Amino acid sequence: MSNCLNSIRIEYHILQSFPVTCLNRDDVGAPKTALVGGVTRARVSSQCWKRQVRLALSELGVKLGTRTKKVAEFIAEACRKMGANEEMALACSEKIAAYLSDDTLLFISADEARCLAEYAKEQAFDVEKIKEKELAKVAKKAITPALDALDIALFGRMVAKTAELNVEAAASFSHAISTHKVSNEVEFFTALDDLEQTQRSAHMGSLEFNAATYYRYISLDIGQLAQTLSTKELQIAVKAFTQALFLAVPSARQTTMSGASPWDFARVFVRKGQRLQVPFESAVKAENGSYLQPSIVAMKSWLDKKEKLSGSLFGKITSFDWGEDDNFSIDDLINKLTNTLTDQRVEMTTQVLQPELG
Amino acid sequence: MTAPYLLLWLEAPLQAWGNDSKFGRRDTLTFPTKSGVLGLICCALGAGGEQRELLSELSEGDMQIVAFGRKNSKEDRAVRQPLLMDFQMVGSGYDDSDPWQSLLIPKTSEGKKAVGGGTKLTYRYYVQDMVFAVLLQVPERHCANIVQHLIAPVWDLYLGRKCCAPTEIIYQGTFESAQVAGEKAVALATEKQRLFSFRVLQGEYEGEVITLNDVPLCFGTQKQYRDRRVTLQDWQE
Repeated sequence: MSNCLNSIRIEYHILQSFPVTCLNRDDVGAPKTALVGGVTRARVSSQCWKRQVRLALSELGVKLGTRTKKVAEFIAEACRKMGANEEMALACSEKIAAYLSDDTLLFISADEARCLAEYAKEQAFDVEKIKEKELAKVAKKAITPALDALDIALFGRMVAKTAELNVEAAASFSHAISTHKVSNEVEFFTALDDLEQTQRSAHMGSLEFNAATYYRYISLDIGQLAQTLSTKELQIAVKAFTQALFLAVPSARQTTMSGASPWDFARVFVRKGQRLQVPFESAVKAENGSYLQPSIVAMKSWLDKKEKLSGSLFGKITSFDWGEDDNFSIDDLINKLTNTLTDQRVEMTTQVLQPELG
Repeated sequence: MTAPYLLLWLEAPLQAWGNDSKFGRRDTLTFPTKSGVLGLICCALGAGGEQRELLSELSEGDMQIVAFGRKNSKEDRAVRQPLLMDFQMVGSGYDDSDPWQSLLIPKTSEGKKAVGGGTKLTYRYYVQDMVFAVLLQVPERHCANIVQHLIAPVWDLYLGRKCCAPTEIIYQGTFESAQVAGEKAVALATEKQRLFSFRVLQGEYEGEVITLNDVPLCFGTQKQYRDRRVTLQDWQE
């Protein structure tokens, strides 16, 4: 039942406030900005935050696909496990590897190697019987960036030489944009030379920075993931991805302006309708010295209104608010999300089966 | 019955509608391209790969664009913001002794390390703060299916570049003529306090006629396009 989760996505709407920081710089070292609703906003580009999420995933110990130039050795090992003798294993794996890559690194999962070796086994490990055409079919079927290569499934893969092996990314990130008007500030600084006797600065410079409450929008295409992952794997993928989203912070100027702010508020949807991000078209005005509270109000009311107006077309399955109830931790959020997906899978499976039974 | 028009509402803080760039500088037109809009439809349908047949049917129809900007506080005219230039370094700051991170660093076409480390400077351009009403004519036999999938798309919809998520429901109705669809677009824009900025008609009319190479013949890894003439008009009739 690979398609029962088709077009279901998890949408993360996250608000996150940072004090004095320069999380993402343009080519002159100033914090990135954008114009929204006619006023300047602080911006962190999608690729900037995505990179950190990807690195965080690897630090979380998520098993990644093997990226290697030693494709042949990788497949030979799989052939040996299938019972090929040394000579056969080497011959078959070399032929398969030659088809898959040149001297470039290939991003391959153990599962794929196993499928390719299985094909070789069916041909009795006879090199002559291994046909490129068949190999293409097997390789295509074997694209199961399963548990041992979650990052392939989440962030996609491009194999220039063998287009059939390309995998579309399931995760997509928007540029994080501040909910309010921002003017970049300039910090002028001097540095002293410890060995210099006269009173003068040895270096002068300036740094640009700002402080902002960012709105982050990320969507995760569950249909895409469900094509290759089992329910349990899907749960692990969603868990790891959500944790990485929670932990990852852009790295620029962290040594001088350390800004390690966690999520402040998040609304997470599981839904089938067309994805939607919040525009924050009218810049939020500070209340009691805070942009966060009015941003939360603005975000909730926009999403609530959109949900009501769109009715059934919103395609909502469920949603969770994180950040206001102290007893609802990120772990609870993850549990709720993964349980919802399991329930969906069970529910949709029975729905599909019923007409057949009837 | 002649082919109906779909009204697609493209609204987001950032959109990108490139039609000719390669390599490090990714340009955008100031309005959506036909290949971008048909790409969006393909995304909704979950139609990957070349799609020659579908594209040849879809690209026959008319496509008109009405662009709406934000009201200028001083004059009663729509403001057009400058394009946003997003600067990105690809492949910088990775630890090349870590086999996984090393892979994120660009290599030469032979797969070897590039001179100077391999970091690439790229520039991506975006249209900021604009709204586009796209009046897209589709063959009647495809209409219902497309509409259904725009409402619950198979793949995530985006406005030209994957990071440009829409802030409004894209599908806004099916109409029997461009004129009726256009009227609906104007009503929506008024509701959103947006002002007419310019429009783009397919074909040659009074106005600025330009040639775009944006009619997709084939998607997939080897994309192919053909030309079409469009007219830019900065007045309303």
